[in-house]
Amino acid sequence: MNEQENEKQIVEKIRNFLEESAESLNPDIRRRLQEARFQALRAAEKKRAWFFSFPRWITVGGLATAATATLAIFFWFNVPSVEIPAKQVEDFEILTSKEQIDFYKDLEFFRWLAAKENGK
Amino acid sequence: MGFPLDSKESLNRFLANVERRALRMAQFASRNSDAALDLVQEAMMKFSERYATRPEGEWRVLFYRVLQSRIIDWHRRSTVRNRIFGWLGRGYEEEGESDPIERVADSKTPGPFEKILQSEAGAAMEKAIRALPLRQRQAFLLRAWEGLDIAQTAAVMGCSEGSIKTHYSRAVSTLRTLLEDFAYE
Repeated sequence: MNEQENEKQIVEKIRNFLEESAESLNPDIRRRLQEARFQALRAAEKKRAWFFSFPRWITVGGLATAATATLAIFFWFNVPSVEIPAKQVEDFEILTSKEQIDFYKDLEFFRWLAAKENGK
Repeated sequence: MGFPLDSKESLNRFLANVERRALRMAQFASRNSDAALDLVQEAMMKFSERYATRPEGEWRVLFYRVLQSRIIDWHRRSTVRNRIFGWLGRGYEEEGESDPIERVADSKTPGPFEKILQSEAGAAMEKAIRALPLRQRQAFLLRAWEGLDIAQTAAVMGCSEGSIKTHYSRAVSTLRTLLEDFAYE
């Protein structure tokens, strides 16, 4: 038998011994192991329950509120403000008044009229 | 929302499958059944809390990683304790430091476990495995018994694959020498 086979054989023997000893543990030890396992399962359940403790509607509502708030802040800071320069206010008045527009249209006529009267 | 039933069952099955081997590994390290049970319980708790939601395929490596780290912590604590008692001038012998095989021999009605350990070959193998240095024993038990490959064993023990090969081959060599008389039985 070569060294490798010898090694294989001894490992196999030890593995069988370990397996046999683990399978034949005393009932008291098995019971305590089972208790430890159930405790661990409860711990896992508790941990998970804590994680999902908030109702789903709160989670969804919270996300929606956060999204709306983000959009509101974004638009608040990014929408360019339209400033009306003071000098344009007069133009604005001119543009909104129909009579004055007519006046400016006929401006050349009034100038001619004035020149004619002055000429008299 | 509770723990899904199928996840709970899978976790229960997994822990039931590894618990006895885990206990034996902890017994080899601590030489004390109560300490070994505590170590396995701590490992199960920590594993379930932290890794139960990870894919099942990763469970074995993660569980043994937690267990091995508990065992190493236990070793460090007992080494420090022994040193302190040594300085104080009196030897401190942990309850578990006495050889369980000797305690087993006092048992009035030996169960199957005791019978295995009391047999000549069983006692020799138990003693030989205990005689291995901690890291060699861990590498041997994880590779030869738990069936982890070199990469998985390295992940469990937190060292390189090369170290695992060295630990394992030294462990096998020592065991072969110590158990020479039983090799051809």
